[in-house]
Amino acid sequence: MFNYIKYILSVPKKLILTWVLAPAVYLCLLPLAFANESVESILIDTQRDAFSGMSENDGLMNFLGISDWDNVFTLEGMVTTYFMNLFVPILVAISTIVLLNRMSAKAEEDGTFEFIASLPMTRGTIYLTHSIVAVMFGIFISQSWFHIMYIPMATMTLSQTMDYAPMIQAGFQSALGGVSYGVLGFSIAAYTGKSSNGWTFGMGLLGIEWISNMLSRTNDIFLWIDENISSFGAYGNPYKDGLDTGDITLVVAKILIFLVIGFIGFRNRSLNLR
Amino acid sequence: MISIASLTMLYKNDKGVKDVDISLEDGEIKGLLGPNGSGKSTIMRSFMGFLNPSKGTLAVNGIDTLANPVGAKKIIGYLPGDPQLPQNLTSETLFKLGAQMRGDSIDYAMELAERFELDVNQIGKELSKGNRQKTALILAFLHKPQALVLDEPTSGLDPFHQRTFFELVEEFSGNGVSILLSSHIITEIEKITSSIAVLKEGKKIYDEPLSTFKKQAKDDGKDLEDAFFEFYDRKGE
Repeated sequence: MFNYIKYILSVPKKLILTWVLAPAVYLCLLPLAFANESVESILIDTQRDAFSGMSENDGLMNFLGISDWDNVFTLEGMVTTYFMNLFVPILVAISTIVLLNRMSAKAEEDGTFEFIASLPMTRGTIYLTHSIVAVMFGIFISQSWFHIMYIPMATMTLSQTMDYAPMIQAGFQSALGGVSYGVLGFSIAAYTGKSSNGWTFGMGLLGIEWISNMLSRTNDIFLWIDENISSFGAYGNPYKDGLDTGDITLVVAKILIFLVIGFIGFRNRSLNLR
Repeated sequence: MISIASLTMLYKNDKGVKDVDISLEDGEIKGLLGPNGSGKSTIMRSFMGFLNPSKGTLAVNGIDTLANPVGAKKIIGYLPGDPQLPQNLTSETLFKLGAQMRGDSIDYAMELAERFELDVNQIGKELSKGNRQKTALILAFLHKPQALVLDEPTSGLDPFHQRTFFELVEEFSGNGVSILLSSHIITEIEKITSSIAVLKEGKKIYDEPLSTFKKQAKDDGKDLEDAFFEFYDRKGE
C-alpha cells in the first residue's frame, strides 16, 4: 500500500503543488491588506463603502453567509466568515474530486488504471488507499494555505491579526466540510466507474447544503437539513468557540458512510475500461 | 497452467463472451484469434479480474484469479490491448513500482529494456506508440511470471523488436510458462503459438493445436491465411 500511495502522489505531483500553493498565495493577500492603517483604509474601508448597499440585500447576505456586515471587513471576519465557510469547502471539494478522479474513475476511462489493476492488490487495498488520500488531501492542502497565510501575520506588524491555534482549528473544521463533498464525489465515481457522476453528486450535495444554509431561515425543510445533515450547518464559529465534537462527529460520520457506499460498489463491479 | 472454464461475461448491450472454455498446459503458447469485438480482450480482462463475469471458473496454476486476485496477479504478467501509461512518470519509475509491488528488483526489467533498446528515462508523454508498447511489455515480464496474458503484444512494435519479443516468448515458454496471447493476424500467431483458439461473436468456434489447422490447410491446398478466412466465414453460415 505504501508503494501505491507513493505512486498516487507522484503521478499528479504538479496538480498537488498547484493546489497547495495557488490558493495560499491568494490567501496571503488578506493579511497584507492589513499591513498598516493607510493600506487598510485604501483596500478595506473603500470597499466597505462601495459595497455598503449589499448589506441591505438579505438574499445576497444569506448567499454569502454574512450575518454581520461590519465584521466582514475585519481580518478575522474575512477569513472565518465567508472564506472558511464558503471558499475553503468549495476548493477542497473540487480539488479532492479532481485528484481522486484522476486516480480512479478517470483513470479507468482513459485506460491508465489497467496497469494498476494488474498489480497484486485487492480492490479493497486500492479503495482503502484512495480513501486515505481522499480524506487527507483536503485537510493537508487547506492546512498548507492557512500556515502560509500565517507567515505575514507572524512576521509582520499588521494593523489587525489573528490567533494561530483558533485559526488552524477553524481551518480544519471548514476543510472537513469540503472533504465530505469531495469524498462523496470520489465514492460515487468509484461506485459507478464514471468520473462525471463524481462531479454531479459531490458538487450537487455541496450546492444543496449551501442553498439550505442560505435559506434555512425561510423554510423548515432547509432549516432541518442545515441543522441535522449539512456540513455547512456543522460549521459554527470554531474560531471563537473552538471545535465542536458534535459538528465534527456529524461530518466524519457522513464521510464514513460515503466511503462505505463507494466500497460496496467498487468491490463488486466490472472496471469501466475503454 | 491457465484454466478458463464456462466463462460468460456479457455487457449491457448483450455482447461479450458466452460459455468459453480455454486451457493451457505449462509451456503452451495459445493464440486467441478473432476480429475486433469477438471477445478476446473480454476473456483476458475477465481472467485478470477486471470484469465481473456472470459465470465461470478462472484459475492460474490452481489459484482462482477472482477469489485470490493477489496470489494470482503475483504470478501473472499482463499486457493490455492498448496500454496507457501515466504521462509524467518515466518507464524506470513504472518498472520500480511493478517490481516493488511484487517484492522484486528491477534488474530484469533493465535487462529487458536493453534488449528492446528502450530509453527508460523517457516520461509517458514522450513515448512513441512503439516505446509505450515496449514499456508495457516489460511491465508484464519483469517479475518473471509463471503465466502470461498478452493482448495484441506486437501492436506498434517494429519488425526488429517483434523478433526480440518472439525470442522472449520462446524463452519463457521453454521455462514452462503458459502464454495466452491475442491477435487478429494469423501469420503472426503462426510464428510462435503451439495452439490456437478462434472466437466469433463471443463464442469459441475452434480450439486445436496449430499443427492440426496447418495440416488441414495444406490438405486443402491453401495458405494459412486463406484457410483461416475461409474457415471463419464458413463457421458463420
